[in-house]
Order: sequence, then structure tokens, then C-alpha cells
Amino acid sequence: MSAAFIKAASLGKTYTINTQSVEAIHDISFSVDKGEILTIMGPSGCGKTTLLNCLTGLDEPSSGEVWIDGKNIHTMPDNARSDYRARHMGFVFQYDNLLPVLTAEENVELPLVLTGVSLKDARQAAQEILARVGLEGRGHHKPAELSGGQRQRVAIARALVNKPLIIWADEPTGDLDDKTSVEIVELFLELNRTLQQTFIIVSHDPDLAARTQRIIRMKAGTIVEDTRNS
Amino acid sequence: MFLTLTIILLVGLAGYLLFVATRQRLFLSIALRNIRRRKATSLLVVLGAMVGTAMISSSLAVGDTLDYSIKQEVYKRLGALDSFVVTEAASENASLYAAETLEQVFFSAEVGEYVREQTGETVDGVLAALIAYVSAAKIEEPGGEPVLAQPVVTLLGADLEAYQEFFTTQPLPDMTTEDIIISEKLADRLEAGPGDWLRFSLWGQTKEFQVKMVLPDDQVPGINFEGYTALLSLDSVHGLLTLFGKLDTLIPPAFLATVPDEAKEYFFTELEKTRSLLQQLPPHPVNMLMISSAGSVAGGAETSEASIAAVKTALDRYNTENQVELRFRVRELKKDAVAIAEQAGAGFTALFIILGGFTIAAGILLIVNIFIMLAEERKREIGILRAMGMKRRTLTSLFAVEGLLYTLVASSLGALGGIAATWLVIAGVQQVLRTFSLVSSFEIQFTFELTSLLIAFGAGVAITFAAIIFASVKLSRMQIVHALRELLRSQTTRFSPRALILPVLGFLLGLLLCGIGFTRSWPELELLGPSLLVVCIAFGLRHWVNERLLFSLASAAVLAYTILAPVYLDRYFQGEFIFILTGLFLVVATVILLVFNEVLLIAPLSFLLGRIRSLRPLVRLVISYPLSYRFRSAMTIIMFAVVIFAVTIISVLKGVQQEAMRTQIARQTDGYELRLRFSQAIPGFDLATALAGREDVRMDDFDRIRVRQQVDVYLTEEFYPELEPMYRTLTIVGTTPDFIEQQTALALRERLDSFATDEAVWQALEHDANGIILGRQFSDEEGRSEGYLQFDPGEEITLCNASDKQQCAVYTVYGITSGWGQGPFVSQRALLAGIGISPYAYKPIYELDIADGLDIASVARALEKVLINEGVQVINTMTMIEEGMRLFSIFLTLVQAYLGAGLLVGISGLGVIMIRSVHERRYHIGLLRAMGFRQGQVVLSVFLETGFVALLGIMVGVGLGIATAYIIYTHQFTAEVDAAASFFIPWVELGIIISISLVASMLTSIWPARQTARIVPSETLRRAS
Ligand SMILES: Nc1ncnc2c1ncn2[C@@H]1O[C@H](COP(=O)(O)OP(=O)(O)OP(=O)(O)O)[C@@H](O)[C@H]1O
Ligand SMILES: [Mg+2]
Repeated sequence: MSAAFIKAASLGKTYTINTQSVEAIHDISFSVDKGEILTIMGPSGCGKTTLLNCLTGLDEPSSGEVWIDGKNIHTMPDNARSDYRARHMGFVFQYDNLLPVLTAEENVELPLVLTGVSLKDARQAAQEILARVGLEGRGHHKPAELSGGQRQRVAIARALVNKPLIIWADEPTGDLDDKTSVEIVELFLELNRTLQQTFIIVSHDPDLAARTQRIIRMKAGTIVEDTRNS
Repeated sequence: MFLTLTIILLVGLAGYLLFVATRQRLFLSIALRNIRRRKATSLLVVLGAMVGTAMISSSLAVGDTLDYSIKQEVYKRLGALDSFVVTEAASENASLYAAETLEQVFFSAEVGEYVREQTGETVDGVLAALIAYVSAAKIEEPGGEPVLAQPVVTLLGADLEAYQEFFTTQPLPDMTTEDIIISEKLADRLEAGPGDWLRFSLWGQTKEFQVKMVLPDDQVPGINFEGYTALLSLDSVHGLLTLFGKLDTLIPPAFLATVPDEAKEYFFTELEKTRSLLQQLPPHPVNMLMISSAGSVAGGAETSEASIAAVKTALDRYNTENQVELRFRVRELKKDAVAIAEQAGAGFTALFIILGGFTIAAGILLIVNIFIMLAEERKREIGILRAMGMKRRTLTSLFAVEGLLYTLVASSLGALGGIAATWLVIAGVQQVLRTFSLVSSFEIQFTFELTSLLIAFGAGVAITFAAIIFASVKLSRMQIVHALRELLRSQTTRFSPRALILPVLGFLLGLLLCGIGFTRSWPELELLGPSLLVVCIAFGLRHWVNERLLFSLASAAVLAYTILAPVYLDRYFQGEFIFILTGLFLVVATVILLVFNEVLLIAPLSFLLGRIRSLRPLVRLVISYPLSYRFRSAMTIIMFAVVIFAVTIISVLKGVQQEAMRTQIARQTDGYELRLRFSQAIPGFDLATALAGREDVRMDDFDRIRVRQQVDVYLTEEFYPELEPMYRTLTIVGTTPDFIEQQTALALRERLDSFATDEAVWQALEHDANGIILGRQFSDEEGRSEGYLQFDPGEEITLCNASDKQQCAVYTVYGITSGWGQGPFVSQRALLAGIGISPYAYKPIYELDIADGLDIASVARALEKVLINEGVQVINTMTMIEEGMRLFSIFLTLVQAYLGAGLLVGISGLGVIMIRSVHERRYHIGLLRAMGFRQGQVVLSVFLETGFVALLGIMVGVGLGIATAYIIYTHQFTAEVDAAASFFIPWVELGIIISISLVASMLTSIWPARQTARIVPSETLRRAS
């Protein structure tokens, strides 16, 4: 087996507000292989979002290191890190993923345009992926004119549109009904299979978790369980 | 009126605040907590409102300063002098002591004493004075070479004891006949102080004096010549005049030696005439009574009416008591001067109010914008409060209380800040004026009225508060769902008849305004009425017709109507308010038209930016933000455009002004920069001889030299009974064959039909005995002063000898020159034959074209020094014209400085708005960063967005500014300043202003964008912040 695709070593993050410090995560080590799809679960406030932010390089950990594809993400210069994100990562955040001034379609196109894809190709790709998440014909709506679940799906479409190596999804199906949830998960699994994309998903949904290859359970800032579904 | 309103407003607000503080404590504490919680936001809000108020207070303070400085200038120039008395002959005749009028010009100093005794209370002082004009030079030592010269100085001879009581607070020293007191201004000009020697010259004669004392300018009355005044005892001046040869002297032998025999004869007859007149002169002759009315320097202007009546009565009584027929004229100097100054000041202040009006409008827009942004930021919070059941009214009051706290802080700081800023600007302007030595006398003195401060504060409070109420009502009206969802634009709602109330009321008001405006031809209302109608129709139809179409049509209609208004409305340019209104309407209509038709903007912009590969991902962001917040963007663009608009107008007008000046200089000088004017005829004078052996100025310094010989003739009452006295003395150019030779280039506009060519006309002038060629000023309606004579070729003109008015002859008009101010030309031969004018009576005028590369001013100074003894006045035509437009230039500089400050404020306003919008967008920036946008790209997108907004403002402002300046030019400028001034756009200056404001405003966004882009994305992505 080759070296781990994503590797975290004794990650810790402490927030200090005034004099009080909150240790959101501490001493987290684990690794993820290329093409793996895993779910992180745990009670509210246990540090899931914090962990994700530290892994992706959106946040600076207080201690520990993260390697992605053999590169230490936290020693990378900011521009290189930005470019890496633009090319190889897709994000779905817990809330408000979209720029309100752009239409759904334009939101989805943005990562493609950023990596130099022509407008025409970007428009086509955006329309295809929006159709995949069940939003055919909604491309011209502004986020404020969409429902919470629809917005979440636009965000998912945007995370997937440039076929990144890794997709980070924080509660991607939180606002969705069961049927749509299942469809989204199916899409994730299919992409994982066909394109060997790596998925790291934070979710409270046990059904979703059960369908992924691996579940990491957290509690009070640490990993308490790391199981693989057979 | 403004003051009363301000006080009412402030009392009202204080009452409201007291009410809130006692009865609605909760609101106050919530408001205070909100402010404390969002320190940065609060600071920005206060800053924005402060800047707006500062614009108002600085406008008022500049107005105060201008007004004060102009009046102060008059007081300084006149000191205690309020009016003066001269004889009728002196007041009508240009040359105060022409030999033939001596007995009518001088009178006994006794008259002064008599008037002093008779007038009593209303008159503070009467000073009998002997005024003469001489040239002065500072010399190294008695008999030495001149160092610095001033060609015309007012010699003021008076009883020094009386003078002291009358004009000065300082004790005057004992003076010998060699001593002199000079004004500060003259001292500065000649760099002379106590102990230095000055030489006075007149008609080739000189006398030297030692400076005993320098008096401050406000203690020396300047009657004429800019306050270059020398004070002597009455006897000294009398002695000087005697020496200088006009009263009882002989021509000095040395001078006589150079004069040919027939010239001697001429001089002796002139002297003989003078002598006979001198016999009849009163004892202790003076030529002026200076009157100081009771009261202070500034108060004298008001009491002068009573004092003038008293002086007139006293003079009449003097005549009856002494059985004489002295005809006096009393001239109200200070009152007139103050009136003239006020008029000039009022003109400038009006223009300033116009320009200040635009800045104030920009300030108001900034304040409104800031509060709209504040409200928008609170949208969600307000949505939640409303969802929880808070009433609209409660919400409005909550917001209002918070706003009121901001308002009070911002308005008081802003009002003071504006005044401080003005002080800085004025200090800067003073510096500029000093370095460019634009002015020698006029000084701008910073001042402000307490009322202005109060009005600015009140206006700031009123506007800010109105903006707050507007914003909070708008917010509380919003549907809760919209607030919660943070919808950017309100969605189409179901039509309710209530929405029609305002448009209908507005429409009715519009009809009313139209009715009043058009029946009374009141331009403000003629502009406002129809525009209001159009706008109200648009709002009324909003629910049925496409908004874009509707508002595009409405704004296009207003735009077209406004820009064409000056063409078809009568009496359009009456007041200043119409200008402000026109400007604002133009800018607002254009911006709304643009904002509703964004395609017009987006297509070229995305094409342009899209060409650059690295910018492509940013194009959409750059455009989407301003267009999503249409209202706010429109306000921002208008704010910026309004300031740029005013700046453009003033730059263009200044350009036209300078162009006019150049044209005028070119027309008047024909390339001859210096003019030498001789106070009297000096036969045998030759410039080359005078300059022989000089180092500082040589004949080589002149490219061309032109000489004209001039003599005064007289138009008598017998032939021209209607003519104004001031036009009776006519200065004629006496031609010689040589002169005609030189002059052939001088084209004619009209000539007698019998002549085939211009050349033939000039030749005939020399050969015939009765021809005259007139300048264009005698024929053209356009350039002719009122009351001036008018002639066409073929008509006849009767000229008389000025010394012997019985000698008259008729001359026929042969032609009219194409240029103004030339001639009239008559041959010297014809003048001798016709009215007996001696060839030695001519005074030469030299015109000198200074070689390129030489400093004209220093050549002039050197010439003055060389020719000081000949009584030659060196006139720098350039500075003469510039002096004439001096006040206007100063004013333009001041306005430009003020507008520069306004621009700075506009830019910082844009900065404040950008800081706020970047702050608002923190979360979005986090998203972009997560998506892989680099820090630099985020900064660049905000940078370009600011540039986009600023560029729109600039384009609208510059475009409309040029158009409006053109309208002002065609309606005002051409008639008032110079008919030949061509319209001229100073592209270089505008280019500099445009690029500086564009770059500066773009730079304001870099700092906040960088700050935000630098934050780790996870931080900005936390909604809570
Ligand atoms: N910027 C911050 N400053 C201070 N404390 C923070 C910050 N971010 C997170 N925390 C704290 O860190 C802990 C972990 O937060 P985190 O957002 O990672 O939880 P989570 O597991 O994602 O919860 P949820 O399932 O509710 O989203 C929380 O106790 C939170 O209060
Ligand atoms: Mg979370």
C-alpha cells in the first residue's frame, strides 16, 4: 500500500477568547487513502468542523501537521495552497455556501472559470452537474430565491464541478429530505467509484454513514472510534 | 432664517432625546449596547456622517472667508478715509493738473478748515491734501544710482498734525523738508526702511528724500495706485510740484540745451500760460479734502451718508460766505468701494454656493448611503426581531435612537472638522498665492461666523437624522420574509392602492409647481415641476409596466428636458440655485439611466477585462456586486459624479478664462509685452541712447520696437453737446511717413469707397490734410462703450486743440481698423495745420517685443530703473491684464482648492463605503478563498470593483460637467469676459484630476480588502462574526 493520501499527525486547535481557552480538538492523528469515502460523526460542538478546517488548510492548527498528497499543507505558501484548493479540492459548508449576488449557475461555474476553463465549457459543465443534483432549469435563480435544500444542492454541484481529488462536505444532506439525501449519497458513491475521488463527509445521518467505507466518531475534540464498514 | 430653523430643530431633538432618556430607557440602553458591540461599524458610520457635515461647514466657512477678505481689503486700502472732495474740473478731467485747468483744480486749504468747523458730529476729520503722482526709486545714497523703482506713487501732502489725529494711531516724528513717511506697501516694493533714501521724479526733474518712518497700510489712505503712498508735509509737496515745473518753474538749462529752437518756443508759450494761471491760484493750494465719517473704520461706510450731506452744506455755505463759485464734487469712496467689493464678492460667493452646493449634495448622499448600508447589515437581525413580534414603530424608534446618538457625535465633530479643514485649505491657498506672487495686495484671511458653525451642525443633524429615519422606515417596512432571507431586491408584491398615494400626491404637487413656474417664469420650478411629474408617473405605473423600461424612459426624459432647459426656458440663469438643481438632475438622471441599463456597461467592461486571462474569473464578481445593490451603487456613483462634475466645470471655466486672457493679451499687445509710457513730451528722446552702456538691459533684448506719438485733443461741447465729460479728451496717434511705413500691416475693416486698397487709405492720410482713421471701438456695436461716439467711413469729426479750445478743424473718417483700441490716426502734419498742435507736444509710447527666453518682469524692472528720471512708466501688458483678472484668478484657485478637498472627501467617502461593503462581504470572501481564490485575486476584484464604480462616477461627472460648462460658457462667459474667448477643454488638467481620483479611490479599497483576504478563511466563514 502506498503512503497515505491525507495524513494528520497529532493535530490540535485551541481557541482563546479573552483569557479563556477552548480546546476544540487535540492530538488527532489519522490517515486517509486516495479514493476513500469516509464519514465523521459526533455530537454538536465536538470539533468536527474545526478538524475539517484544519485538514483542508482553511484554518491553522495550534499544533500538529497535515500532509496531503505528500505535501505539508500548512507550510505551503498561501498562493500555492489557494491554487491547490482551486484545482484539487471541493467544499460543501454547513451553511451559506453561495455568493448571493451570483445566480446558481454562475456560482457553480466559478471554480471552473478560476482554473482557466472557457466560459462556454464552464456553462455546459455547470448545467450538467446541476441536472445531476436535480436542479435542471433552476440555474438562473439567485440563492435567495432557492430553498435551503436547493441551495445545499447548488453548493454540492459547485464542489463537484471541477472534478477535484478531494471533496470536503460538512453536513451536505442536513437540509435535504430522505429521498434527495439518498440521491446525493448515491452520486457521491458513484463518483467515488468511477473517478476515484476522495470524500470526507461530516454528518449526523447514520444511514449516510453506513453507506460509506469508513466512520470516524469524535467526542470532545478527539477521535474515539475509527471503524471500516465491510 | 436658517439659524432660527436650526435652533428649533436642535431644541426639538434635545427634547426628544430627553424623552427617550427618561421614558424609554430600554431603547437608549439597547442603542448604547449596539454601538459598543460594533465599534468598527459605529466608527465608520460616524466617520461617514462626519465627512458629510464637514462638507457643509467648510462650504459656509469658505463663503465667510471670502466675504470677510474682500471687505477687509477695502478697509485696509481706505483706512479711515470715507469720502473725498475734489473740484468738478478735477473729477472730470483725466490729467489732474493740466495747465489750462490749474485754477479749477486747486483751492485754498482754508476750505478744509472751514468744513471741519461747520460739519460737527457726523464728521470725524477733514484733511486738506495736495495729491500728486510721481515715480519713485530707492537709491544707494544721495545722488546715487537707483536700485529699485516704482513708476507711480501717490504723494500725499498734508498738515501732519491733522493727519495724525485723523488717520493714524502712531505718533508721527518731526520732519524736515528732506524727510518722508511711506506706506508699508511702498516700503515692501522698494525694500526700503527708515534711513533709506528715495528719489522722486516727475517730468525729468528729481528730488531726494530720506525715509523717516513706515506706516501700516491701513493707516495710509490709498486714493489710487494700489496704496503705494508717500506722506509729506503740505509744503514739501508744494515745493516738489514747483520744482517739477508745473507751477512756477523754468525748464532746467541742461535739458534746454538738448531742445531745438522751435521746441523751445513751444515750451516757453506753455510755461507762459501756466504762469498767468498761477497768479490766480489761492494761497496754500490743495486739490483734495479727505473726509472721515464718524465711527470706526468699518462703521464709517454706514454713517457716510449723513456726513456727505453735512460736507455739501458746508461747501455751499463757504461759497456764499466768501462770495466765490467753487464747484466741488463729493465722492463717496468707502461706501462705493464696499458696494463694489460686495458686488464682486457676491458674484464669487454665488459661484461658490453653486459649487459648494454640489459638495454638500455629495455629503448628504454619503450620509444616506452609510445609513442604508447600516440598515442592510441589520436586515436579518431586524427580520428576527419582527418575527418575534416587535412592532414597526418600536423598531423605527429603536433604530432612530441609535442613529441620533451617531448623529450628535458626527455632526458636532463634522462641523468643527470642516472648519478646521477650511483653515488648512486657506492656509494652503495663501501659500500658493505667495509662491506664485499672484497678488501683491489682496490677502485671503481665514474666518468663520459662529452662525455658520451652528447652521452646519444643525444641517448635519437634520440630514443625518432624516437619512436614519428614511433608512429605518424602509427597513421596518420590509416584509419579514425578505429580511430573514436577506433578499437583495424586493420582489414584486401584490398591487395595493396605497402604493399610489405618494405618486398621486407628487403628481399633483408637480402640476402645481408647473403652474406657478410657467406662469411666473420661475426657472427652478419650470425645471422641478415637469421632472416631478415624470418621476411620479413612473412610480405610479411601476406595478403594470416593466421597471427597467419605465425608469429608463423617465430618466431619459428628465435628462433631455434638463439639458435642453437653458435653450428654451427664458431667464434661466438667474440665481445660483438653478445651477445646483440642473447639475443634480443631470447627474441623477444619467446615473439612473445607466444603472437600469447595465448591459451598456457590462458588455464593454467584460469584453475589456475578459481579454486579460488572469482577470477573467474576477469579471463577474466585479460587476455583480455593484449591480446587485443597485440603489446603493447608484447613490455612490451619484455622490462621486457630483463632486467630479463640479471639479470639471471649474476646470473648464478656468481653461476658458485663461484662453480668454491669452486672446486678450494677443489682441491688445500684438506680441509686444512691454509698453513705455512717458508722462510728458521729451523731445529728442531716444531709447538706444538711453540704454547705451547699460549692462542690465540692452537694445538686443528687444526683437521689435514700435513707437507711437500720442497727443490729447478735445471734443468740445459746441460740437458734441451730449458727450460724457470723461470721453471729451481723445488721445490721437500722430502719424509720420515713417510710421505709415511701419504700419501697413494694420488691416482695415471698412474704408471709404473711393479707396481701392488699405494701402491707399494710409497713403492718403499722410498726403491729405483732413483724413482720420478710427479704431474699431468707434464703429462696432459689440466692443463699444455706452455713450461713446460712433462713426462710419465718410462721416466727419471735429477735433479741437486741448490747450486752446478755439482751434478746431474737421476731419473725414477714411477708414476703420480691424482691431479694437487702435488709433485714432491723424497725420502730425494735418494736426499742425488744422489745430496747431506742435510736433513737440507728442508723448511717445514705446512698445517692446522682448526676445524669447528673457524674463519679461526683470527686463521691465531694469527699464524702470534706467528711465526713472524721464518719468517713464513701464507697463507689463501681461501683468496688467492679469491684474485685472486677479481677483477672479484668486477666487478660482480658492475654489479649486476647496473642490480638491471636496474630491478628497468624495474619495474617502467611497473609501468608507468600500470598507463597509468589504466588511459586509467577509463571509463571501471566505467562500471565495475556500474555493481557491488567491488573496491577491480577492484584493484585485475589490480593487477593480471600486474602480468600476469610481470610473462610472467620473465618466458621468466629466461628461456632464463639460456639457454644463459649455452651456454656462455660451450664456455667461462670452458676454462678460471676452467675446473672443473660445471654448476650450483642459484635457491635461482633467486627465490628471481623473487619474488621481480614480487611482486614489481604488487605493482606498486595497487596505480593507487586504485585511479581509488575509484572515484565515475558516475565521471569515464563521457566520457569527
Ligand atoms: N473561532 C472560534 N472561537 C472560539 N471557539 C470556537 C471557535 N470555533 C469553534 N469554537 C469552539 O470549538 C468547539 C468545536 O466547534 P466546531 O464548530 O468544530 O463543532 P462541530 O463539531 O462542528 O459542531 P456542529 O455539529 O454543531 O457543527 C466548540 O465548542 C466551539 O465553541
Ligand atoms: Mg460543525
